[in-house]
Amino acid sequence: MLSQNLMYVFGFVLSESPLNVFARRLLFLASVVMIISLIAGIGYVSSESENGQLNMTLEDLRRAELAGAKPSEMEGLISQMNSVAQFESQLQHLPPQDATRRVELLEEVKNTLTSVDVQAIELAQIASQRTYVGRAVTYLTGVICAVIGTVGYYCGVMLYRRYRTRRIFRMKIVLK
Amino acid sequence: MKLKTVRELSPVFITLLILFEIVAYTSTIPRPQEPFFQLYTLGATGMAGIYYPNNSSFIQPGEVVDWNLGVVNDMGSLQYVSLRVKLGNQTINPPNDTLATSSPSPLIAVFNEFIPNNGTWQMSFVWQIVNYTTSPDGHIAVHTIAISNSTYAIQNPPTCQSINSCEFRIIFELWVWDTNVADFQFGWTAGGEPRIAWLQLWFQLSSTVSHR
Repeated sequence: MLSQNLMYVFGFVLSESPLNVFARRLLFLASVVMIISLIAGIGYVSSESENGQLNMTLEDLRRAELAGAKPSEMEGLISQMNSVAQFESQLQHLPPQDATRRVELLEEVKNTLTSVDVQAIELAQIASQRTYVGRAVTYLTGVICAVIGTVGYYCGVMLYRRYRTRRIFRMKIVLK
Repeated sequence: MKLKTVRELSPVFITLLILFEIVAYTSTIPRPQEPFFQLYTLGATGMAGIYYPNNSSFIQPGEVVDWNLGVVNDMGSLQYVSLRVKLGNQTINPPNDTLATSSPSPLIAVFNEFIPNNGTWQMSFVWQIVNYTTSPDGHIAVHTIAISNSTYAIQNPPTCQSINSCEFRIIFELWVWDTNVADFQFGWTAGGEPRIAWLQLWFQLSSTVSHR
């Protein structure tokens, strides 16, 4: 009955000859296999894409951390990522028949990951600029310290020379 | 300032510049460190002791055992870790440190967490045996364990010859998210070598209160 209905769905009906009955059964089996593989495929692709998105977000967060993002800046994003981990845990414990909740959780996971990823990229840019400026200031401080040190050395030498000159002019020639 | 003076001061300036720039460079570069994780279990009091009620490893079904688990991230970056809890007996192999392979013991529960660099993830691990069966030949199998208000059924549970005669162990394995394969892997790599972190705590299933 189901196979007959499927035939109508596919838009053609075969006559009742033995060959056609065989062809109909074959077509029915092929349809069932196709539907099952499609359903399984959707689950697999969903899990794969989820892992891929999580992986990408984690890499972007590490990039932000490497660029010099402060722990206080990372805290909020890590907390959001932990909520994703909780959603994933809920998904694993969800009964198969609770499809609506599953879709909701998947949507929440996807939205949170997208949001965190965008924030991580922004944070990486800000942190990178801040780190660059910080390094430039540190190296510039080195140059300034070298200049101050050289001026100090020059002043010290000048004072010493003046002291030596005065000492020489104050010398008295004593006959022995 | 005369040209002669400038010439005299140039070596001084260059020497000082090199010295200060070395100091600046060493202050900006991150110090190399060996990446590692720490995994620990503490008792109910948060100390490395008194792991079992009445300080006895004989556990009755329904008896609550309170542990505190901790993972410290010293990997130098944010890490996504998975703490896998398994139930083993005396015969099932624990994780292999040489081959860095996980234990084939059945999985009870999985706990995932993102840990910041130099961060610590500490979780309360309160558990009890909910259900066990005895086969006609006297073999004991633990089927259900409750961990922190959630009940976990154990697939292919390990068995013991008879109650009070053999020991079970709860194994904690640290799995780490590997961005190269986009999945959790047992342990991590440091200096090109695989490293693993795992713990086990033994207990004896008891039908009556018995203290060692």
